[in-house]
Amino acid sequence: MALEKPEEKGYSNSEFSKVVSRFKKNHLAVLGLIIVIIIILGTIIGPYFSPHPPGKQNFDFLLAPPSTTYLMGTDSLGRDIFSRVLHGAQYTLLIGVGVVSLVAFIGTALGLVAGFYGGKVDFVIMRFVDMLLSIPALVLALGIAGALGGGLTNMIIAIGAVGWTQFARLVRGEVLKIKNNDYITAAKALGGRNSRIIIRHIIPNIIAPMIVFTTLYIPSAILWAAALSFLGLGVQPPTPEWGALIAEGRAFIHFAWWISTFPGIAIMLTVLGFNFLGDGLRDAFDPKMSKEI
Amino acid sequence: MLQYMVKRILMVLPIIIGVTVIVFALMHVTGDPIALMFGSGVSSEMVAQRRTELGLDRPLPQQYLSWLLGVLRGDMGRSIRTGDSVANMIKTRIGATLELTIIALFITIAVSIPTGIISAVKKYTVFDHLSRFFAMFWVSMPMFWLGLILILIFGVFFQWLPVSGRHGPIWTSAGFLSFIMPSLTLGLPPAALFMRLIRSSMIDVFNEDYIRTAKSKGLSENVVIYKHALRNAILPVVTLLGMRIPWLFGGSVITETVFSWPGMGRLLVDAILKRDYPIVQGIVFIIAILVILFNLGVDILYAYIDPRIRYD
Repeated sequence: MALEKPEEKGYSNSEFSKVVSRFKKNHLAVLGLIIVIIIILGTIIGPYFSPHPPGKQNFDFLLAPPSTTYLMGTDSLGRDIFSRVLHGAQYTLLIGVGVVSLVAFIGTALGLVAGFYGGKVDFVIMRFVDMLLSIPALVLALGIAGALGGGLTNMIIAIGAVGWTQFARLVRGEVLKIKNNDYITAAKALGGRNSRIIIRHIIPNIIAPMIVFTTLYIPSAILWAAALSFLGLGVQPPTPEWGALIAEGRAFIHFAWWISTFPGIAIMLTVLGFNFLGDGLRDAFDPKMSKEI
Repeated sequence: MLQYMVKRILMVLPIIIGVTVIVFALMHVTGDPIALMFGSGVSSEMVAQRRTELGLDRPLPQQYLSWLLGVLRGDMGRSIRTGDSVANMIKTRIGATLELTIIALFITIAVSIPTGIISAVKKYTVFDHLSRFFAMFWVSMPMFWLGLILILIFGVFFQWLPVSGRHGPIWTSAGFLSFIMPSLTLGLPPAALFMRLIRSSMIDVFNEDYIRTAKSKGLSENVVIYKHALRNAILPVVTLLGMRIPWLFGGSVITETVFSWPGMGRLLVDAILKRDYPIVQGIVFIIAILVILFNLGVDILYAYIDPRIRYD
């Protein structure tokens, strides 16, 4: 083992640099990365640059159109939309990361178990996945969020609870692909425990599709969360979450277009950034993967 | 083919039973619906009395069985708030949802297939780049926001289309106009996804030997594209269609809310917000059944297009 290590390391280094160089050549992927970095920076330092406190009401400027004082206009309570959009970024990112962590955790665990052990366990898990998939995820998430009672945490749980199915399918498929490889058989023959084989040999070999899927899943999580908040079952007002901001503007769409328009653009740009990044990562890791994910 | 269809239909039954369990559990395991509905301001005696009235004090398996038997007879219980029959409420609204979903599906197909084919045939041209760029935008837009922006442009600014509601059947002119924005909102975002898939799948097929053979025997470009390439390239698209059907029904919930469309989706959102669990249970169940039936249709279509499936 000790002799093999440097070679292994050298291989992974060159593989990694290949991935980086493929990624760099893809302009849209780089653009995606830049957008995502801007959004993350905006989340951290944005609130310090917001021209007004997000909850501050100014009754002299109710439904004011965009101007130099209020870059994106004000809402029905005279609150600055720009400041609210800036403060809202953190919720969107928190939701994206929260949901994806939950989905990746449940999906990986069940997918690994189903793929690795096979047989009855696999049958039961995958039939459960089939059943969940025949109920539209959004409908199920709405039902769970409603039953749990709305709010940020409950919304993350609701989306996570329905979103893991695709992840489990992907992980299971990847495990099945490598399960019969010689190195796994060798590890078994050496008497390795199943848990050790999964952690040491299976997970490291399926990590690339997992990273890609996680990145590609963030946009879906953000869009679902926005939809739930829009329907009144996610983050509640006055929290400046973007979906909730769009919902607030809906009643005023006839005379104050700016309330719903700007938070929508913010969601779109964020989702676009993650989509470009995810697509780019997929192509960079393995051009063949694009057909599977 | 008949044998395949029978096999496929039999496979659906356990899934339907599983779905009823999930739907029932969703409403009953996550908390006491009555306590949640009344909130904290009501005495526990009243809550207990209401629970007995609605049969919620019985053991869960018993409640589940009586609900299931009711569903089999077409009785889905009554709304806790209004006392109306859930089955009747669904019956009056299911048509509007189905109309919207089917038209949206038609738009998805009508937009994505031609753009996907042209993009593949004219790979790396301006058309290809533009359509792929726009596709990425469509995919990244929150659906309800797209609906609102359409309302803003065509309803408020130009005042060409009604901003909400269903103004009659689609074959009347008022009805037709009221269908345009909701069906575009529901149909365009998946079209972008389909277009990308059709493009990549066509490009793959173009590299196959049988396409080269077809070309070399002197067949015209159109015959090669439509008769040889499309039929093979369409297979992954049909798979995606099956996978996207639940999404379409989920999307209809959002679209119906944005456009105040009188379908099941809006009723569902209202019922969830008011915690009227018999309605929620009924609608989620019906939507799941519709998804299963549509998927069955897609599978049979798949077997029809690709004979290899039937003999697996």
